[in-house]
Amino acid sequence: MIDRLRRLWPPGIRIQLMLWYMGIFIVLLFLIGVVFYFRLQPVLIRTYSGPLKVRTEQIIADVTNDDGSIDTEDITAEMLLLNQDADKNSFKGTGLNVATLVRILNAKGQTIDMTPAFHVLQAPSMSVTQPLHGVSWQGIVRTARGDQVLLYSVRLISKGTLFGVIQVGQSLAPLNAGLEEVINELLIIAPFVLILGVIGSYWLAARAFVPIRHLTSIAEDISAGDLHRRVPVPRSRDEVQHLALTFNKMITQLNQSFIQQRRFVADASHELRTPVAAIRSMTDVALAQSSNLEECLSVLSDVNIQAERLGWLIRDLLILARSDEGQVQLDQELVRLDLLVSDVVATLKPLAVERRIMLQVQKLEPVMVRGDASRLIQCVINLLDNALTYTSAGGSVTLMVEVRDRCGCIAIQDTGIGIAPENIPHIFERFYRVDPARRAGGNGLGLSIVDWVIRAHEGSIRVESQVGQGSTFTLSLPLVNDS
Amino acid sequence: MRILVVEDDPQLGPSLKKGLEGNKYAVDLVSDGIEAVSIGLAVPYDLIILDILLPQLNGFEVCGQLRNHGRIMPILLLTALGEIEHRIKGLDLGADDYLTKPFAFGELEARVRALLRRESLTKTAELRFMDIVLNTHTHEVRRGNRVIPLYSKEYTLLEFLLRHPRHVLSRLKIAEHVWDYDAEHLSNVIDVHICSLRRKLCEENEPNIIHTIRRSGYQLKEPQDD
Repeated sequence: MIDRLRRLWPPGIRIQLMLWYMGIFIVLLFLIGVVFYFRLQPVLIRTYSGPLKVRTEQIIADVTNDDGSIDTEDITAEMLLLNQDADKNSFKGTGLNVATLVRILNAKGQTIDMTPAFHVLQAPSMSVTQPLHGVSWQGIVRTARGDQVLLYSVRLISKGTLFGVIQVGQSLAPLNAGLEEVINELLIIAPFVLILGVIGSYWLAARAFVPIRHLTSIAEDISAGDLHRRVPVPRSRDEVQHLALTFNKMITQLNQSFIQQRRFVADASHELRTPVAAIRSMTDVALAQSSNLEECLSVLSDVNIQAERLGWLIRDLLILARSDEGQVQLDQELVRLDLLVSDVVATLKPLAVERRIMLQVQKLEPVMVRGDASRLIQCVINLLDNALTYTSAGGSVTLMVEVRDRCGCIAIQDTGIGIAPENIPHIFERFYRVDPARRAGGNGLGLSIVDWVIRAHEGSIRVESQVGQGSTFTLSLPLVNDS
Repeated sequence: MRILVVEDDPQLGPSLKKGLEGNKYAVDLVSDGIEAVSIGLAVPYDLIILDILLPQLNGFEVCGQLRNHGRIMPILLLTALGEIEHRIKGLDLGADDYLTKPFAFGELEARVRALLRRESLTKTAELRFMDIVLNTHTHEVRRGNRVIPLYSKEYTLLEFLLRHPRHVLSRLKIAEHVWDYDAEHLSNVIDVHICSLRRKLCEENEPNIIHTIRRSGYQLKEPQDD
């Protein structure tokens, strides 16, 4: 049971919306009920006060009629008392119902007579003093039991002389009972409104998600095979349009990376096929012509060279694949770039001598960076190897290590064939070759690896080149500020 | 020295690799028995650290298969199974040592050092050649009284040379024992590291002891007059 409930959590967006709507409905219904109740009461009381005044006038008329011939207050009071003694239901005789409460006071504010129900009323003194000063008073007074009574208080005048105060009250019990009934009605209606609201909101939420479900079904149709397809973009400028646009952008990017991946695989297999084909043809020839040992040895050494080339290619592919996966961990050691460069130069010097290229170091400032020595060595070797490859005999390759703009820089300048400006942005792409026909060493991955290593060290590469004049590659790496 | 760690625990495996790399070993990590056998047969590891409870093939089977194929590198079994019968079985199948989980990493380090020096003549943590002393525990390298700071790859390279004095070591062999699978070597990179190592070892005009053997590789040898 608990498991089943747990499976419902977290609820779907439709249920969530529905619950939210339900909450809002409850709050709104409650607020409307409260405001309605408290606004309705004064309005209803106002409808009571008019008739009350009329009734008071009627009673006053009775009083003056009874008192018509007697001028003094005392007599008037006595008359009233007598009147009441004689006929206990004198007030009833005037046609008032039980809920009407009456009290008559003399000019001194002393009670002369009142209906029995008036005893329980806690009338404020103001209700007496104010009419004695000539201003009638009206207010709601509570009985000891907590019932509300609307009380109207006015002076009694006979022939221009104030001789007392009359107070007439009307119980509000029927009004409050009516209000209570209204609340009960509201409480009965509320659940129905709520249920209708919830059903409506569930339906609305379903409607709102129709375009999204439509998008989803189209997206499901778009498999990896046909990434040229796009989802239709609705014309309304809303969330669904934004979603569709984002979705299309994502498909475009996916498509691009698929194309890149496919090209990469095609290039890689082409590069792999070349040395294998060479090995095949050389060994085929050697096997067909049962040649002497010397020829066999020469074929073997050629095969060895091709195998080494294959090995390099596979290693480079592996490095790039691993870097794509983000799996490679780089050492974080303090590396002296100047010493590193001079070691690389010393190692590659024989190659330069062999190719009759002048390899020189122009400037070696002590530069310390943090990083992976082997990877950085690989970068410098790749760049220097390129420089030596694209520079013809008699040319020169110059290296510099210096601090520039708070970065450690390695510049490798050659007097080689140079790179055309339109090609420069592409040279770090995998298998990119300026001239596809050129087979001048390398496998087209060297610069990609340099690019990756330098970026992994948070550095940057700058390339300046002029066709026929030569190229300069500058690596910048963040300096370490110690010693 | 290159070590293969076979451990399927997603936390312990990488932490062992990292810890051992901190000791300047080249470390490969695999997490199942079949992969362990194939890479163990392909690469001449200096040591294999083998968990027993593995997916596919268990550690005993991996150990047995490697020995059946004539691989004689030291094997250290590592497992939570601590019963005596298990230890006997593992050792009889050809394992060289046994460490029960949980263990202190320091003990593993010491056992690794001990297993690596089984083949060598020196029986302490120090490797010596002439006036060069390399301490495999503190990773300090001295020539005479001078402490020589080395990059970790240079240290691993020197350790490998010191463990095989007077042997001619090809670049391929050096690469196999000094670099792990993720950092496949570039023969030129080895040359540059050797160049740097020579420079650091001979900074005070001491004689060179790392000789280049043309077309073959490098050799750690007493200086000669040529």
